[in-house]
Amino acid sequence: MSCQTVRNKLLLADPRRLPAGLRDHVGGCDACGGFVAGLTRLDDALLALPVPTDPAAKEKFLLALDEAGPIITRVPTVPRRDSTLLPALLERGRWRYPAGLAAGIALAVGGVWWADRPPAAPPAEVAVRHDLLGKNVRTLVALTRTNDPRTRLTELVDMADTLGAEARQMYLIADTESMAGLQKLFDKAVAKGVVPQAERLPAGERAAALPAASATLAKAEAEASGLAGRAPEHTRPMLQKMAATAKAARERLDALTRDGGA
Amino acid sequence: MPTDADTLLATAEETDLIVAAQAGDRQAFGRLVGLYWDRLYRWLFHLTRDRHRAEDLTQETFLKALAAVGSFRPGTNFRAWLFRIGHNNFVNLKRTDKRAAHPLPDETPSRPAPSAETTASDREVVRRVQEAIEGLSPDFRAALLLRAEAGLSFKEVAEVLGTTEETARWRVFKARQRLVGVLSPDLLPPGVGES
Repeated sequence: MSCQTVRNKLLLADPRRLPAGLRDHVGGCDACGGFVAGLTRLDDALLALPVPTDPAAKEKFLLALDEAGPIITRVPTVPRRDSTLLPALLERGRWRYPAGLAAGIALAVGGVWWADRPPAAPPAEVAVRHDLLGKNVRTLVALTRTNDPRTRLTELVDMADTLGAEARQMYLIADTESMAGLQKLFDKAVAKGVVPQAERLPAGERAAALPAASATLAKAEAEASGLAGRAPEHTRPMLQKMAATAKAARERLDALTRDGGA
Repeated sequence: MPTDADTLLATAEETDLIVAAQAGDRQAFGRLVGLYWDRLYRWLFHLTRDRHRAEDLTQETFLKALAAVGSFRPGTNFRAWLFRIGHNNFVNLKRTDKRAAHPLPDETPSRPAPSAETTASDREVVRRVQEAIEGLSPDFRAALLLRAEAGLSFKEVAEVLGTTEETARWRVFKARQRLVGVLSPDLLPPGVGES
């Protein structure tokens, strides 16, 4: 082996546990021995990289874990925007989407676009405890405020994107029921929301509005398809369905852009 | 350095803890938190470069793991499963930030923590490594640190990052190659590390 070949292999090896073939070469080659010494120093430096820590953070979390009843909430760190999921939904140690979440999403994606009804008054303020629910209630409000297909299309594509991201967070840990619920909502948002709104767009607006929506669906398709390849068996079929739904919708949007959907 | 026997014992103990946690034993889950908190937090800090976000993501990861521990199959790779959940959380955080036009902040510690054992030269190397690693893209940084810092195999790195083992190897290779290139004046004798 040449020194360059050895060094390429060394870049993938643990410098403290070299395989015999590499060890033999390094033992007789000062230059490669120096390379190994450098890699060892690099690994030491990686382990010594400074990381600011709050020693109490873990203790507080463990304390909350010990003292918590059936529901555990995250220990506050600093005030900031909340992250995508509030992990305060743990009941008796099992993950469940709260009923309010499912109801909220169903409300948001469930009856707005196919009715083509005139704009209605927004619903009364809804108490929101989950970020996804909050997001979808906001979408509902936006949908009820307009009858413009382009605005509705934008909102629904955004919702589909959010539901796709939620699937990425959930596919490893969700039970079959929760994942199936998420998949149905995604299908509904795309097949009964995005596509009909795209079809309602005047022909002159399609070239401007549809490519971005198509690109979002292509991303959702690729991601769901990729996740399906490594998902647990019980969530794989839902991801495959999501990928198929996104693909069919994307193809329809592309056809509408290309030739008006004829 | 742990022996194979130590590793086997640790694995057996971890499996016992997982089984107990699945039966609802919070203390057993707490011990798993104790085993993995620091490693997971360090990795997430290097990805987010923000202490509070890293703490939040760490908590969120353990809460999700607690919620889903019943679906975990004992005997398979708990560490990779846990880091995978953490990575999914990180990806979604990035996505949310991008949409809200609030990019992740760059909270870099001003200097390496001093230690009696570290010489000024060591500290300088750490500082340069820190600068160089911040120049890596998150995908390459994540792969390198999973391998070099968290001690995961390439197969585990691939599982965590949702990619193939080949891609995981490639990312670690390129990341290390780049660091060696940047740091060679300090790390290597003259003439070594040039490609």
